[in-house]
Amino acid sequence: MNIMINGEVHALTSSTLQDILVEFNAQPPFAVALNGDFVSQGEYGSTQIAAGDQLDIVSPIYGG
Amino acid sequence: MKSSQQKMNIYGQEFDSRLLIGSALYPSPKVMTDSIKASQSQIVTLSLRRQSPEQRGGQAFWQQIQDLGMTLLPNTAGCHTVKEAVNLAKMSREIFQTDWIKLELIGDEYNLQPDPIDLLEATDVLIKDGFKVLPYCSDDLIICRRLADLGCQVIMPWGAPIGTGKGLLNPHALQSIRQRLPEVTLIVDAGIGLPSHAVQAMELGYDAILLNSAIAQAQDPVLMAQAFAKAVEAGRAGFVAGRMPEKQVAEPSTPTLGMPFWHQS
Repeated sequence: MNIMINGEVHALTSSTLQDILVEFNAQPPFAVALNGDFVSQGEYGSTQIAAGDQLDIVSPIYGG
Repeated sequence: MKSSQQKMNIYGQEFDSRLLIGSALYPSPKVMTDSIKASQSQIVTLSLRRQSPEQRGGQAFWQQIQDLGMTLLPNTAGCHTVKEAVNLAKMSREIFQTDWIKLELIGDEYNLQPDPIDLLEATDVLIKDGFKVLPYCSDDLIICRRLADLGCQVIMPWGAPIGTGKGLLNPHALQSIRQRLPEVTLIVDAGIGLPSHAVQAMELGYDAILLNSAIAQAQDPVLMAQAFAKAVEAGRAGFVAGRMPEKQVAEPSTPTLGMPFWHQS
């Protein structure tokens, strides 16, 4: 299925957020929002992802 | 002699340094590290952005920041809605393991002016969720008062728009906030360009300065960081010492009595 990760379309086979993060090769540390809402680490395994969902995977960066 | 060594308090944590520093815009990672160390700051701001696994998720920067061993102050820079700011704050809390958040909620792209209405709403949501909010706001006394009423123990009005380096555009407004909110830790955030601007803010009785570009974009960031460390210290001591009474007419400091060559005409 196609989902949006960080603004780009990705064709992925997994259905849980946990597996999708592995498939995407997300590099720790990171945090996740699904369709704009924060998802905590403890919820990754129980969060189902559907086609068309939008994921944001963020990491530390410099800032003022 | 009074002591200017009283520590700065942020939500119950005490700090010797009254300078908070950003981690952006330095010419190189090494200059960033050297400048931050030279500033003697104990608190550094940083942010979150979408990661690219090909670039190893920004791990080099993260390691560098961790090596500094400072208190982290994540921001919500770039957020334009309450929902964006609240969710980015929650992501920051998980990654950085801190309930501190520098709340930035931009209302105008041209001057990056904070949206005061949404800022109040986001602050309310975050405080109820257990965050310790450090809101970046304009120099409006009533907005600052409302933020304090919501539970903000720290408020950060701007000196001038972000990145302009123009200094304190409205010292009178900043002074009013200081006078009316004596219990709040007040930090001038944004717009500082020169050490003299920092001195001026500290002389007004502000508790601290938060800056980034003034050091990072100086021709010699490390030297400028040293200058700001001294400026903040000097301004604080000047405030604690208390200024002389201002007068409208000149008054000689050298005695006039006994002046030679004087004669009554």
